[in-house]
Amino acid sequence: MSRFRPVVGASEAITLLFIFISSKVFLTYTVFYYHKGLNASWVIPLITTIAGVVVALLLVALLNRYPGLDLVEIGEELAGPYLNLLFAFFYLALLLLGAGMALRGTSEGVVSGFLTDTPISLVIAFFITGTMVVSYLGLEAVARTARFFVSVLVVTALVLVALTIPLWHWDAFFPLLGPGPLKLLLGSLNFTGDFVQIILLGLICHFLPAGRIRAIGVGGTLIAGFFLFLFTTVPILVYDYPPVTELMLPSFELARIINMGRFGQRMEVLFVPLWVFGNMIFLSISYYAAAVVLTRICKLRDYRPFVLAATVLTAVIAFIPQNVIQAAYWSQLYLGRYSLGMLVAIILLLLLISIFRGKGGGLDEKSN
Amino acid sequence: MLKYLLYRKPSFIPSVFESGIEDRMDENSNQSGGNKKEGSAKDSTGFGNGGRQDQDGRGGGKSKDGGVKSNPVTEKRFAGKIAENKAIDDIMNNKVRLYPGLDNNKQVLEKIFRVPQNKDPVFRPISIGTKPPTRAMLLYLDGITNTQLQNSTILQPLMLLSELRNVGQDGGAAVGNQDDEDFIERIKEAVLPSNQVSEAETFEQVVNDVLNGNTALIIDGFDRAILMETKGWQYRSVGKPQVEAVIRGPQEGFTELVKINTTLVRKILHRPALVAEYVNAGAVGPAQCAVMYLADVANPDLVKEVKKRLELIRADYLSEPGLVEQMIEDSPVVPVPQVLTTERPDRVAAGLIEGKVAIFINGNPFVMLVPCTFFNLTQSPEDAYIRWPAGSFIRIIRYLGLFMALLLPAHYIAIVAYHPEFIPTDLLLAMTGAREKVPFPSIVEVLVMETSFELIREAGIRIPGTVGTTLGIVGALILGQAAVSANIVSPILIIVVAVTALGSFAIPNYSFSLSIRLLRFVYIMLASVMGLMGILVGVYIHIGVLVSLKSFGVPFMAPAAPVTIKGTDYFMRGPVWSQEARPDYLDPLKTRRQPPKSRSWLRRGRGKRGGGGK
Repeated sequence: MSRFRPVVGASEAITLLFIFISSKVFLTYTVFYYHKGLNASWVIPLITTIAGVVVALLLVALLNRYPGLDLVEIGEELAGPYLNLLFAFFYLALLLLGAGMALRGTSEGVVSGFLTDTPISLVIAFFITGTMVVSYLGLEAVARTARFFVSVLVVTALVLVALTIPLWHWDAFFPLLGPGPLKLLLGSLNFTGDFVQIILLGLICHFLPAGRIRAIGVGGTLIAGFFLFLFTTVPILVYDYPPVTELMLPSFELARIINMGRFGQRMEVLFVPLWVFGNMIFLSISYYAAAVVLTRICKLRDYRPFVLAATVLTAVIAFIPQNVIQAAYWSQLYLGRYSLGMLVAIILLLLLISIFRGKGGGLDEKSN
Repeated sequence: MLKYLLYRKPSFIPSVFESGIEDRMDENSNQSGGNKKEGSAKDSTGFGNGGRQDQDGRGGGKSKDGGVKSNPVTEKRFAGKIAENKAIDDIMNNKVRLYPGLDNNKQVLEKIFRVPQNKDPVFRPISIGTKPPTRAMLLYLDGITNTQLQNSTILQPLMLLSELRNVGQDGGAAVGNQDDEDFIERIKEAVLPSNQVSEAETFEQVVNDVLNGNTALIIDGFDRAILMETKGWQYRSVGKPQVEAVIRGPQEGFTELVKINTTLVRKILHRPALVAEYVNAGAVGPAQCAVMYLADVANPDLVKEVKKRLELIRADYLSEPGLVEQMIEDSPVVPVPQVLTTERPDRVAAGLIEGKVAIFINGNPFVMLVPCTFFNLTQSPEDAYIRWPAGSFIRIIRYLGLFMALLLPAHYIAIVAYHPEFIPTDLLLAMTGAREKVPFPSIVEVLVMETSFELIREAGIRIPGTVGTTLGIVGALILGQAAVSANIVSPILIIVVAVTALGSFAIPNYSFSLSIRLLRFVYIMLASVMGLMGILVGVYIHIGVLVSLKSFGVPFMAPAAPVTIKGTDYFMRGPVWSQEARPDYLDPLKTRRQPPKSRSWLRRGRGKRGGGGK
């Protein structure tokens, strides 16, 4: 696919996966939880994490049947080129739509929070440039950049949570199951798409250590679930329900409320790297993955020409919503509600075809 | 025949767009005519073949070597000289053998050394004291040979003592007979008391050895020469390191001679596995490079790669590690050094023990260590010589300095211009008050001060030592007082620039410090355009580029990204007794550096954490 075959270690892959899945906690996305789960919204990430783990296991089961092939190649082997084209466009839509909405949300957040006089187009151009460069350098660069930043991100996120502990109201948990178990369960189905980014595993599987794909998939999903849970729960504890539903960027508001005496005010500046790097890694992964899908569709070997194409498409998508609220709403509606179901349907279909046809195929010997 | 009539070989027609070459040809046509005869006489040794050798019919058009143009006027004017040079190059490159006749050899060597214009080569005719005497000639370069050594170990034995040692046509080998071999061998074994004597069969061997300060003995009737070790050039003695000074630790630095430098390392590492291989890099003035490694530790693939890169350099003159570095590093366009340059033998020895490869360049006191990682560039040898808590603390200070040197001015601009609300109110009031009278925007203010500081730093290096104090006064007055008094900059910026300078001085590697200085301006620009966001985007790209860099195949950010097995000596300085393994990313032949019980004097059950084990 590229000039050099990248090598991604297990820890790097887990980092990629969990940042790719959980970076949405820095955007408006989790606010929708509170409308469905009320004060018990913390249950939603737990349920969706279970769903994510199940989908990860299904995906790994499919990938393990065709070692050396990625999801798009397996689809072509099993479903043929025409049907697989539809599948590939679905993967592409997932990646580009997710990236576009994240780009819009992040840029709007930057403009409203830090650069109030700067045009959003300039902010988007900066983000695009930075993320595109790293995507262009390849999967190794993206994975290692993520791995390099992960300790900063995790420590900063945990510090952010820890500094809000004095503001927690434990009574916000009650009534413990909020709208009731059934409504919580049904409400959670609206957010299963949180974990649709597990698709990344299917696109980079043949660069991962053999035999560890399952551990990577499950590990990445669980860590992402933990951060989703954390950043859903803490705003409830701090702001209580229903005020928490009025937050635009919950994690940003958490940082703003921290006050450490006369000198330690406006602490959100310390957490800016958390939001910026988290979302930039998300965008870089998205561009790379989208470029890989396009490379597979066009049956080419080098992903790099498509990085710019993916970037341009993302920028176009980012400007489609009229405002950031609409971007967040579309993201929840189209990605959060339906996407994981469609992905599961595709994986199940491919698994069924695989079982029906028996394992193996001409592409088994083909390696990247 | 017909095809020759129909087909005419295309000849080169100089373009009128080529910088007025045609005009110059016309102008110089008369002058060049007078020089056409130069070198036209062809002598018995093949020189002066009467014209240009490279008649490729292209004149002064674009050459095949990357579009570098040669001047047709010059070529025409000095055709004879060019032909002569080419003939000499052919003799050297084609490894032409020596002639049996002494006079022929002398004639060729005089041509090669451009005698009589060149006064340094000495062709000393001698008569070897055999019966009958044998004609011979010594060839050496005046000034780089040890004359006392020549007198006592070459001239005296050959001219006076050879008869006593029974060497000659009567007693030994007869010249011109089938026993020529014995005569040369007898001279080497019995007459010449030099410590290193070898034979040469080609002009190229003779010339290269003579250029290295040795003496060649060419005997009439023999198509071989004897080469004797007589190097005697002046060199600087081993002194203190000039750039990498330490408080604790050895105070020896490398000098300019490669042999002395390798010896300094050998003095530290008494190991038979310490190998020094010699490679010449460059064409016109080949640099003698020594590749040193521990054969039982260094990865053979790494050694092979280093030698391959050095041998495949195609350049005229590479006298300095900085030049060789640019030829052998993986990504020369990235402004980050991918080779560790040091002038300390102890640091080279430590690197070799880890499994690295050292590259010595003759004539330079800096030695390259490869592969090199980011963490190597931020470490100082002294980290290892002091106790580990202090070593770790110093490293933290150094990382802080690195951060300051790279990002502090950019943060100043970002906060002043874009995010004043980020700083506490009292501090904001102080800063605003200090900047009240400054008429410039913060970016101009910072650029003025940073550029002034870089100017002072550059001038400080170039200025003669006797007037160095003047520069300090000028710098202090301009930077410290006058700029503030004139309301050109704010006092806070003076603090920012000073702390930035201190940070850059704390970086232990000069090349790395230079790259940080360069990148600082990039970050200043980014901050001036997008504030903190610009800095963060810059950092993201910076890290993305760094993690994809490689130094001789080893990831530059290892062992942090990619994650490999970490020792206790990469980010912080761990205890020496816990550094049991060599760096994993070097893939050495021996991975273990010391046993788990490195402090085995501890009693059983005590000091497990101290390397004593149970």
